[in-house]
Amino acid sequence: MNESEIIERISKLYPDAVVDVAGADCSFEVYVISDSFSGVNTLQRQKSILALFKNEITSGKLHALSVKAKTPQEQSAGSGLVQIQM
Amino acid sequence: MSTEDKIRKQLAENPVIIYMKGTPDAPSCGFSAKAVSVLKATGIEFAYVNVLASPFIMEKLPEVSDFPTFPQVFIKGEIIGGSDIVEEMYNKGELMPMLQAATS
Repeated sequence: MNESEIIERISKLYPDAVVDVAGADCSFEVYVISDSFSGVNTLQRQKSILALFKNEITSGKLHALSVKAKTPQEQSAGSGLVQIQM
Repeated sequence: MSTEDKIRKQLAENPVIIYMKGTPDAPSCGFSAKAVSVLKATGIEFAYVNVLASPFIMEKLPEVSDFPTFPQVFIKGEIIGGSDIVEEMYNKGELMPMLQAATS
């Protein structure tokens, strides 16, 4: 698989999401940031995204797909970094 | 016994169980290694199934749990998640109380 295929599939399910992909061939990491995740637990978030790649995971075409799914609020809180205003 | 029955029996008999690639002492995949190291760090007793040595289970479990990747960690028969979720719960202090409740 390539990065654009992955982004396209996730964007169809979460049109408002920021999607970023890293990896190659059969091993990828994806970052998905969307308001749709608010009130949804981590397992359900991962399930919804992994389900899009069920065939590739089952066949071994994708060996690893690591999913980070956050809301914009969690994303800004989680970094622990504060943008310094100059 | 059907593979699904075997899985359900394993889940019923083991309050904490991980389905992983490899064994706790010799994991075959970085994700399985991470999840099992978290479980080890809790000091709670857990069961494991090496899915590489049980291809029927490797094939069937994703259907039963509705989760396509390995490792998969179950507490009291309920899927908790894979390596990222287990690590996140451990770091947030949520994993220990769940494991203690399940094994007490």
